[in-house]
Amino acid sequence: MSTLTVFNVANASVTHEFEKVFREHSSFVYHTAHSVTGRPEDAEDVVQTIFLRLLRRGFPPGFAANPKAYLYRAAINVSLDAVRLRRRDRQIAQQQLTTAPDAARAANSLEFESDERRRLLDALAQLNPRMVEVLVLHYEHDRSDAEITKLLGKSRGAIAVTLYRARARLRKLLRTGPGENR
Amino acid sequence: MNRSQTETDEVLKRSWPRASNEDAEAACERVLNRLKSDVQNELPESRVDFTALPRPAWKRVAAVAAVAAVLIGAVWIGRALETPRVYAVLETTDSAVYRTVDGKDVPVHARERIEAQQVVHSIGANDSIFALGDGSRVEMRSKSELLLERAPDGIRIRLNRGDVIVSAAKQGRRHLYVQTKDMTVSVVGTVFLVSAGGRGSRVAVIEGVVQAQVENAGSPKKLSPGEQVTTNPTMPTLPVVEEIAWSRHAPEHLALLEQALAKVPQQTPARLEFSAASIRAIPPDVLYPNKTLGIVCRGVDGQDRLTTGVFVDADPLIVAPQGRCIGHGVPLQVLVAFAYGTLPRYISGGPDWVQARSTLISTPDGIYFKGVSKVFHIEAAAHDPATVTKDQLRQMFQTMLASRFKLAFHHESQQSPGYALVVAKSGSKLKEVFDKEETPIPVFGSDKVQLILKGRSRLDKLVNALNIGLPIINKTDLTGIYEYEIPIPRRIATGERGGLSPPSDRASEMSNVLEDRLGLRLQSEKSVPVDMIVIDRGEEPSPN
Repeated sequence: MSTLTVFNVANASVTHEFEKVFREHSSFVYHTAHSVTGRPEDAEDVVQTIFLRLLRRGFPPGFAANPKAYLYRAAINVSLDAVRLRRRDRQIAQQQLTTAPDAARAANSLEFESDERRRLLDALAQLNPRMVEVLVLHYEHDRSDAEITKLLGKSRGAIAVTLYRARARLRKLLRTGPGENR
Repeated sequence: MNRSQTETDEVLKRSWPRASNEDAEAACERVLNRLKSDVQNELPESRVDFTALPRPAWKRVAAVAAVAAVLIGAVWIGRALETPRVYAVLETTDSAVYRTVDGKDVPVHARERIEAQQVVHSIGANDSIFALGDGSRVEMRSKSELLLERAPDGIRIRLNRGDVIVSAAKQGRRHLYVQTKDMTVSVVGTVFLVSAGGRGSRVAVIEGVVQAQVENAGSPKKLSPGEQVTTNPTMPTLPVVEEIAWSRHAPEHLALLEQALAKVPQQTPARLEFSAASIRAIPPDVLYPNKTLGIVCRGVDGQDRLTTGVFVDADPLIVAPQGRCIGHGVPLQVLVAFAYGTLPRYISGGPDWVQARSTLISTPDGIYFKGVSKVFHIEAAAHDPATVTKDQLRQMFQTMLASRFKLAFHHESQQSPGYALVVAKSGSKLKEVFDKEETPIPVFGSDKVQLILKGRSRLDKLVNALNIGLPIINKTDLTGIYEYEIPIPRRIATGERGGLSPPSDRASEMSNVLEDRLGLRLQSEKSVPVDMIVIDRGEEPSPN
């Protein structure tokens, strides 16, 4: 057990300290999740999932050292999981709707604002989580390489290389058609 | 960046899902309420491993192979690279050089050897010359300080302050680096100047090619003879000839530069200009109506804004269409400050009318602003408003000041008593947001009396907006973007009868407000670096 007592684990109730941590970081988690999932309801689920686990189990080793980095990584992983689950469900739904193409198209158009965004989110879901971490910090949170280095605890070289590779992989995934990028 | 990279970047910028802060706050509030309520016990929990998703087996194999390859590579490289000898020998006999040993300054004599990790500095009038172990030579200007150390693939000179001219020996596979606090220069064999000052760093090339990496500025920049780069756009750009004038070998360096330039086809960079700029002078003693005073330029990547006054009921934001700059009631002092990214209080010199002097006049019809100095209305547009950036607009502004106001100025580095913004003992109360920055501006509260500083920015921008009459530097180490609303104490906003209160009183009041609202405070500093722009010449523009 870490020395930082933030949560009342025994009865899993929201303590003043928990609320303070929640208020400090939940918005960051939400924005991160929204940028990966593209949907407000998924982002809200991600926030709930992460803080519920922390509330019930207490904070793990590594949280106290850098709460923001821990929550950021958690947000990326849980969001990617949500997106991958949704992709799988959509593939199943599309297979079931092959006899009614109009309905399939309607389902797709309802689900996403644009085909381009859907392809972007699909492509993001296929990237390594570490690549997504860097991309989200760069594009969503507008962080410099130095700030990303500080948050993720990696060298600037590693961040620059990851960003470069992530962009290259995204470029490749975006070039291929919707059915080909899997 | 090639075309396909640009396309990917555009897709990312265009289609990246973004949530508003309001949505985020509402969603988080709902989650917190659920966690606080009895429903919490029924909420499902994810089985996802938060911090590390399992890697496929092939990735683990690949990781082991990669580690092995790196180890083999490291051994090979270690053998291939000859370990550089990291030391320097002082060659000059007429310079006053000291090294710091246990906090004391010990003189360095001619032909004495200086080992790695020893800090050396020079005083007196003459520059000093060192020969490095790899055959390179370093000329150190008086009042400079440096340290020599081993880099993974060569030698690194850490330039803490001052100027050096480096004649780098051929490095083979190694590199010679010169590092300042905000820039790293790497070379394999060339002659160049590096300058490290309070305002930023500069590298200028005399012969060969150097690679300069400015901190937080993306990819490194390659520089050829005669070219230079600075880490701070407000630093003056002097010809390389003038930069190296202090060196005892200046004539030789100049000859090298001329020789190198003769081989390079010259290209004069096009000066950025507005397609049209309207400047109207409002004569002194004319009552200015109830509007916000200041200037704003809007580019495709955002806005640059400098607000100098705001009235009750006035819209606090001056609006500029895309690709245009709009100025309301601004004197030349403010125009110069805006063009060079500083604050009006750091502009001095020039004719009387340059300085911003104004007074508020209360009449039965309302409050008016009367410019004692000459103030101007400005409207200017770029040639291609759809694509111009705010940096390009700023450069066009600089060109306009030079051509229309015949502006000439120089920089002066000064030390001034000031304040540092630090985190208060109670801890920061700042709320980080994940949105674009908005320059802090003063607006009136709902009571139409209380002036409020409202912004969403990094703290460096906040300190610039805290007008206490003395410079403030940010020492909080907080790097995020924060949203804040700070009531400005009345004595700071408008002054009391007889003028504004002394800076120490204003700082004390501001510090109390900052501590109360943001968990920050102002701490007195004996000496704060200030970069003054001193106007040498400025003429009233002809009307158009």
